[in-house]
Amino acid sequence: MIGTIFEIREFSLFDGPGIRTTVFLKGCPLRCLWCHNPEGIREEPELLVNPHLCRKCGKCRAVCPSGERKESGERVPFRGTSCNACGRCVQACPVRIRRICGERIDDDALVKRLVRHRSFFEAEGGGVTFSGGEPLLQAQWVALCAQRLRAEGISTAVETSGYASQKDYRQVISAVDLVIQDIKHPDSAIHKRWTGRSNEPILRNLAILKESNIPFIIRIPLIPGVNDSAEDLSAAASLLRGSDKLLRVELLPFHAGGRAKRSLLSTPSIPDTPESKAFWECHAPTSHDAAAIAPLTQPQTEELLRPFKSLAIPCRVA
Amino acid sequence: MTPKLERLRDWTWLQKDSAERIDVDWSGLPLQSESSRCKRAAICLAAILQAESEHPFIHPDERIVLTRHVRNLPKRYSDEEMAELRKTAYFHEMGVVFNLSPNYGATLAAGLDARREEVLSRRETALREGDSEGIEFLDAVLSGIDAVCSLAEAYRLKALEEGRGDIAETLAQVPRKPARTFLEALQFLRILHFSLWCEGTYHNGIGRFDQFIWPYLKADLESGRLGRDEALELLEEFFLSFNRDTGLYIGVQQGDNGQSMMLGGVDREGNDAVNPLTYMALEACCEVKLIDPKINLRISAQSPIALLEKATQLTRLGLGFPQYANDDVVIPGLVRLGYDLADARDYTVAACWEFIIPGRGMDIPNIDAVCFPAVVNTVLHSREGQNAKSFEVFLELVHREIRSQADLIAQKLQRVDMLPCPFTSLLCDGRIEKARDAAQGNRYNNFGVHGTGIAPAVDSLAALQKTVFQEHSVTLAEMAAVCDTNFQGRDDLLAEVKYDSPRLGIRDSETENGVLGTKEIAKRLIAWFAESWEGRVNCRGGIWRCGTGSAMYYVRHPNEIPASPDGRLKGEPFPANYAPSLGYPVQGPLSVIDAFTAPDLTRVVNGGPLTIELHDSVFREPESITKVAQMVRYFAKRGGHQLQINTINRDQLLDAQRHPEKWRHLIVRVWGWSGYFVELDRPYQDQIIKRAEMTFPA
Repeated sequence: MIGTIFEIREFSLFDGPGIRTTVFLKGCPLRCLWCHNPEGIREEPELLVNPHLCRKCGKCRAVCPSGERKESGERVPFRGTSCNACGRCVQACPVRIRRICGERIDDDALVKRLVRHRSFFEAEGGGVTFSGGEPLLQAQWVALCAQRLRAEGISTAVETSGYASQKDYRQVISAVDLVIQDIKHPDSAIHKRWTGRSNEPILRNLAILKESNIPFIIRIPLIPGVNDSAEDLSAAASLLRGSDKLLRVELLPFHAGGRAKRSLLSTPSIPDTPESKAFWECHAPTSHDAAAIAPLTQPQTEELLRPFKSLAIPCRVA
Repeated sequence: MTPKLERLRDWTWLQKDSAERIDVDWSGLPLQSESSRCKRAAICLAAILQAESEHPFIHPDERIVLTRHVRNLPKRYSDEEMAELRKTAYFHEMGVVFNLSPNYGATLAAGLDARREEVLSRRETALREGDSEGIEFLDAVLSGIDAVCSLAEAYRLKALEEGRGDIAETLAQVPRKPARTFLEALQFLRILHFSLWCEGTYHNGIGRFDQFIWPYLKADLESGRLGRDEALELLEEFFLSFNRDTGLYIGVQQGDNGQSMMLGGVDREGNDAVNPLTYMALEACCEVKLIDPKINLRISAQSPIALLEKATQLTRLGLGFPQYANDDVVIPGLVRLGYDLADARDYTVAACWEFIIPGRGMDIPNIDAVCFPAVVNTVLHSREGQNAKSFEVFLELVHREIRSQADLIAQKLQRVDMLPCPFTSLLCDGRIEKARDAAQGNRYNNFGVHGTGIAPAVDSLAALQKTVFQEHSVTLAEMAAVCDTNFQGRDDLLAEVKYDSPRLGIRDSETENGVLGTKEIAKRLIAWFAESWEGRVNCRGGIWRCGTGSAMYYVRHPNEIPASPDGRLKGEPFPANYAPSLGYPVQGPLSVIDAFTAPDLTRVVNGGPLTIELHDSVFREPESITKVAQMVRYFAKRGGHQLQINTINRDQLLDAQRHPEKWRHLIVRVWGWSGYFVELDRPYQDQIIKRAEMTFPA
């Protein structure tokens, strides 16, 4: 069975216990304006170009089979409008600023590659985490791969937005040893405004997760002005009442890194709407290098964690 | 850190570049007329210590004293004299003894009075035997002991004058009598270490500090004389003392001063020797946050994660240490080279990473270097090389060339001499008993040879295998010409070798269908390197040993050869030490570890760490400490010999180049040592920035 992934990253530090390898699955039903991995949104493999390093030699244009080869005068990094990610221009580029993001791979081949990392996992505990994109968009394939890894004695985890059908959701969570799930906003209308989708399936699946016997971690990406108010966090906290298997809640401070990556994409996965422009106007990186906003102070951290602490939920700011 | 220590740290920082130090005119010293090398050494040491005695300085916040006041050491030999001497034999670097780890512990426990008695009694014997050379040496040692004791006495009187009874009390005991307490041991060690620098001996390692100092601390803690907090404060003060005079120390670059300290490991019987001082020393470094002492930690596959986590806390600060050494590999490696098992278990590092035995090693562990990309280049440009019909034949020529490099170096170094170091010899085992200076040799007199650019050489060979022998897209002669013209007009080939050809630790290939994988090529290069030195005896009766270190050659060697078949253009730097080629994204640190631990590293225990760069954002979560610690243990389990992990941030480094005034305190690892980024010459800075491009996560 074939799945589409866009990266296999070894020694991923923040995706579960021990030394882990994370498999990023391509495709996501959500369109969060702050998306950190915009190259994971489209389901199909796609061409990424880093225009900053282009030498304008025109070799990409010359080999493109899209039929748009006519010289337009200016030799700029070329992307055919009907690009089907055939990859010819990748090889043609003398400075290799192009790559195809997305690889179709069958479960056999994936498991074989991951099993090669077994020595890492066995040495210090750890395993494989499926992330994305949204891994549940390829639920059957993820469940299959996870089961096969389990049979190999390799522990697995899934990192998900929780946006999936009940059937898909149950299938995947029962195949893994740990679930790491997001709560982006407790309110359905607001959720829809910032992510393009309602949170109803997410909350329903969260309820399934709470009833299951699977250990889980909840992550809340803190988006200033979107979900970081005391009310929003309290509402999120109350969703987590009575979760025996909840290991902890992690609040992730806002990071604008995803925005720079968007310029690498051939076709924007998140259209530039007035709303998204307004969002980035108030969330622009403060400096070219950090891409992060000022670190939180101790009192700010305490304030953010209070709703969780008051319900005795283990929590921390990452 | 306590406020007192904060003040002392600020002062240390100022002291480093202090303008108040004086230059002394040494031209009046009776050196020209003195033919005895030992006497010259004694005259110079006595003169500098006498000059220091005239300016004792005590900072109000310090309890451990001795600060250099005189900037320049007397020159034992004029440049002309030295040039004459160099005609008679090869004198390495400055021509004096350096890169050694003295046995401080024995003298700390005995006191200089007792050592003086020992020298005097040996002198009696020498007198009876008519051993004039021995007498000359022993007299020079006595002169050194007296000069050191006088300096300490001058400080004691100064302390009394300034109402510092506590300091006077310490100095009433040490250095003449044995150290009894932690404070006395630290003060004594400060005096000895200070005196070695004054003798001209440089790159003096501190050795296994937690081993020879722990008994004093243990006794203090057990008797209640000292609380843990006070002990930590003293230790931090002691660590600060290594930093105040660094502006005066010689080295290739500022910071290259060899003040390396080894922690952890096993004792001479093989028992685990990690103790509370091991942990306390790591903690003190975390607070002091300066470039010295440069911490090394001995580990094994069995190291407890708590120790590795403590060490990782230090890595996280970006000081460029600890550097790890793996007992599981280094000890058997040294035994294989002929070291006694007990000595092998006692190993430490010389200045950077070269494994030596404290008190017993008089090795020259950096006497020369083999440049691996140059070896490949030589074969590629030879008629025989260009006629190679298969990759195996080409490789065999590389094998032969590695051996001829060894022949060349060994032939060149038939007469090696060094100037004596009588006081330093007092701290080397058995030198008094033999009545001979350590410069004439000790238990181990081995020569060490670095190996630079192993990864770029593997990459070049892999590129040749692919383009010439598999794909036939270019011939060997064409590739040689392309390298000579720096890939001019061959963008296509450049892109192919740069991005599509296998690379060690970056895009490793496996051996299949008769095509050699990168790890296999690396295995062979390292095995051939080791073999090329096996069985050779050097001119001082020692052996030759080789390693994976580069020292400063990673900046020098790339300019001596044209572009390489792996697409490294002329002048582009090699990675420092044992690390993947610069400028390519790697899959991750574990793949790098797997690739670089594939060769048998027990055979290259002259040392040279695998170097891994981490981006500082790795440490944004608390459990990252555990994970990086686990990575270190994974390295030990895979049979790595030495590991250096750096935490860096490229943007900071770039900003530091633009605004050096803002980044005076920014510390980076250079090759085997940490220094202040803004004090480095530009090529070293640029190489570090290039390294930073390869951090994890990318």
